[in-house]
Amino acid sequence: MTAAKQKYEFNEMQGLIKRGYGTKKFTDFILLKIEDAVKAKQWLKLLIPQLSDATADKFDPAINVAFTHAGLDKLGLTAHIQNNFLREFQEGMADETRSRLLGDYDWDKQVSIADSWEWKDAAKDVTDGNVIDVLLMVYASAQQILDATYSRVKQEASVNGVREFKRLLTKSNDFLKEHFGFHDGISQPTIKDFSDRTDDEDNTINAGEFVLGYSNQYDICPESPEVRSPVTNEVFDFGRNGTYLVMRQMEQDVKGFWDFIASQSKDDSNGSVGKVDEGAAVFLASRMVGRWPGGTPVATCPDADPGKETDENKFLYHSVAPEHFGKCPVGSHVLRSNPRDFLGTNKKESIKLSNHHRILRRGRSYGKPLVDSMQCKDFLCTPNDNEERGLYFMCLNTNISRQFEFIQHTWINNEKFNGMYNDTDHIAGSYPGDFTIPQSPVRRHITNIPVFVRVRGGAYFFLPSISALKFLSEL
Amino acid sequence: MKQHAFAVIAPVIPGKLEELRSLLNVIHGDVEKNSLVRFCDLGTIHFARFVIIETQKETYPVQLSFSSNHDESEEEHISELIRVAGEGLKKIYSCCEGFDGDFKAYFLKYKVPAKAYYIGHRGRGLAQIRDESRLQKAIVDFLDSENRNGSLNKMNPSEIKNKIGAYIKSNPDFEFAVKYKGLDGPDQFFRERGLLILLLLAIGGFLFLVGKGIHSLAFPAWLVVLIILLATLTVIFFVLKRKLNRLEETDVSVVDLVDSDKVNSLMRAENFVVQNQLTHIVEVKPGSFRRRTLKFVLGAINLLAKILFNRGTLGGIPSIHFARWVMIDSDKRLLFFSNFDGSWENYLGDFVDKASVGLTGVWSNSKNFPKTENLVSKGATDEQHFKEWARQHQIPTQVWYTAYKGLSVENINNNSLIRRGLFRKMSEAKAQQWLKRINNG
Repeated sequence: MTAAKQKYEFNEMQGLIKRGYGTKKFTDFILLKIEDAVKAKQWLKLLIPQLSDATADKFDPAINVAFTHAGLDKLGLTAHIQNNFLREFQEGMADETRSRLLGDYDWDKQVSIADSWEWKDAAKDVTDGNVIDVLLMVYASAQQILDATYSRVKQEASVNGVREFKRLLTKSNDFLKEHFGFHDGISQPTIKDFSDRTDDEDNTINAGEFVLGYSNQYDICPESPEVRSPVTNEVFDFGRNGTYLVMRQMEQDVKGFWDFIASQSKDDSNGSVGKVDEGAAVFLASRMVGRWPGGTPVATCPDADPGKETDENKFLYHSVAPEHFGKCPVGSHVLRSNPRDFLGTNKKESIKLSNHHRILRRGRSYGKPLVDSMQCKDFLCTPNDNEERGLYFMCLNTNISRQFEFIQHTWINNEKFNGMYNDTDHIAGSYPGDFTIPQSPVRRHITNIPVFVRVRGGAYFFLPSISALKFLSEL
Repeated sequence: MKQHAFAVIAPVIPGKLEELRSLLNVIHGDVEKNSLVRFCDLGTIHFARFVIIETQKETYPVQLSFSSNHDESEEEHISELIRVAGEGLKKIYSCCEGFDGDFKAYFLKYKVPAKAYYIGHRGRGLAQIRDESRLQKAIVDFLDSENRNGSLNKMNPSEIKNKIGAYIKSNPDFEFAVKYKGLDGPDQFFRERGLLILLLLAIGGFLFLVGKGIHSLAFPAWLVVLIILLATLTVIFFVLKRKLNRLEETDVSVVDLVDSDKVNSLMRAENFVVQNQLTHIVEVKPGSFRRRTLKFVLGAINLLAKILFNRGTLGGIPSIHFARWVMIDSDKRLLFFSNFDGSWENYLGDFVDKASVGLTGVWSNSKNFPKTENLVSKGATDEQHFKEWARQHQIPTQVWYTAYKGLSVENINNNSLIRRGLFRKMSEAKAQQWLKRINNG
């Protein structure tokens, strides 16, 4: 007899928990500041009926809203707290002590990089005007719909005491690639019983890891923020069906990345002034990512780029063909962000451990591609432009320190990951370092690789349920 | 040469607490080269710390703890401390009750032994750890430069290994590796597992004799006595278990959310180098039953640390350099010192995921620990509450020193294996494996 399926209150959850709105390619992220808390609640009342929940995707555009702790504070929520939000959310991603943990720290100048972020959730300098309160996410199927909606919501907000701070434009491409040229968004956990889609057991995760009110991977309901209503004096589970949303603006130095790859991929027959061997360049870049540009995992197909586009994600590092085993670099980005069965020595235990640190990714690329074709060979020969491009990294989790922060510190930015010495992640990491590519008989060791990603903004948000938003609007 | 735990915990003169605090702050300002205790000159110390234990001031006196993980004998270690840092230590201990300038007598009086002590890289002194790290780095550089044009890729693994060996031999800096290959195969094996093997042999022998007795229906008298003894022990076990379960039912477990400022101030001292530390103190639950159970569990962990968890992991946790438990204030409080790799979140997460049984076995005997059953169940598996409890009882460490801030436990153990294999003859396959170890990537 199979266990009864878990029931979820989809009508309460905002839609982003259930879907990434990948089909709605035209997306804006609007950062707002609350200037009049009383009026802002009127704005919320206007906004709530426009929001998309996690039931059928019926609205175009789909709109979701999230708040920083500063924003919830301004709305008066924190004054009535019974059971508090996570410490990380209260303090903010931009908190200086946290910066050392997350890799947002300049060790030479001994100062947090968050001090110069363009938008953030907290600042130790009270005059820092870049602290934001609200994140409005608008997903549309056409540019006109997006633009019309943007004008309308901006107007609705501004007459109600909520001012736009910044409009973050996004740009998706038809290849579903991120800016370095690699097919992105492949690896995602499957939430147990969330939909009819089935997946391997070792990629199926309890919902409580991504939305509050349900059991997590420890079979325990995680702590949820609770508020005492000033009207009824009853305690309201504010966090139920809500979750924490992590967002970071990661600028990618695409040309710098490919220039470096090119410098390490010169055709040796002419010494160091040789031509760039395109195959070697793609090989090296793919080793750093852990997948070929089309998406095939290096672990399952290490020797040559199969060339095709794929979403292949059902693989384990120990279960690949014997002749392929051990060829994917331990320090590659894909292995670091989800080690699967490759942590330590025990495969089964590794999967269990890895699954304590999963996130639901919801990011979007921004900025014009360096090359429209998004082909590696074109990246290699195109000169740089002065455009900013990168990724708005976003993820959902219910335990910020065990999930997002853990991945960032213990896997991505850890030079000692899995027993290594000085290797860092060169796709998403914060620090320069080495890279080791397994080779027989002697490994290929590249040293002093610069950093290709710069974080320009970041915040921890809370994505409340529909009921929680109603509660907030009536506070 | 082996690593030892040393700790002195002395009462602080009430009026001198602030003076002590500012002295420790001076050391903290530059832990390696400060003017009071120049740790970089102390060749016997792996890790050391000064902690002012000032929680529950109403009940317990404020105390200063100095603890170190050191090589050489305790006498030699204390002598070195006096020789290198005598002046600074005099200033520090002048803030403690009853210090008259005689370090040896004072340390003897306030010395506290470890009830359980774990080492992540057993048997390797500071010099060896540093030497083997230099060796690994030199081999990395050698391989990098030799293979710039890919010439090594045409050779066999063992040919390459021999080439590395020749390079190392030619360099007087690495004489240590040439002279002494590191722990030998069978010797190492027995050293690490000897006690465990004897234990298993004893149990095996006993079962065999019982079996023989049953088979021939003739039990020697001593065997009968032994069986009765075991039966009695089993009865006692169940009696104790019932007492424990009854206590557990009435145990109080209130885990309040920890003050944000407190956690922030603890975090301000974290994540500067590869390693982190924590100092943790709890009150033991009242009653002799709990105290004795705690001592028993600590004794068991101490034994296991010697015979089973002696190859780099403690119950599966691979990131601990040195950890120890100490009981103070007439066994009323339990103090825990740990030096580990990675973040606090990672470390505590490992506690929950890998070693919750052992850790629950220890700490369920302390006040306000998350609800536990049968001494080892539940408890630390309640992830969020356990971590909250851990932060609640963590106290600031005023001074912390690490002699190898860039090395993880895995690095150290891997370096020893590299050294051990360097001049040994091995098959091509094993040589290839050895070559892979150099970067471990």
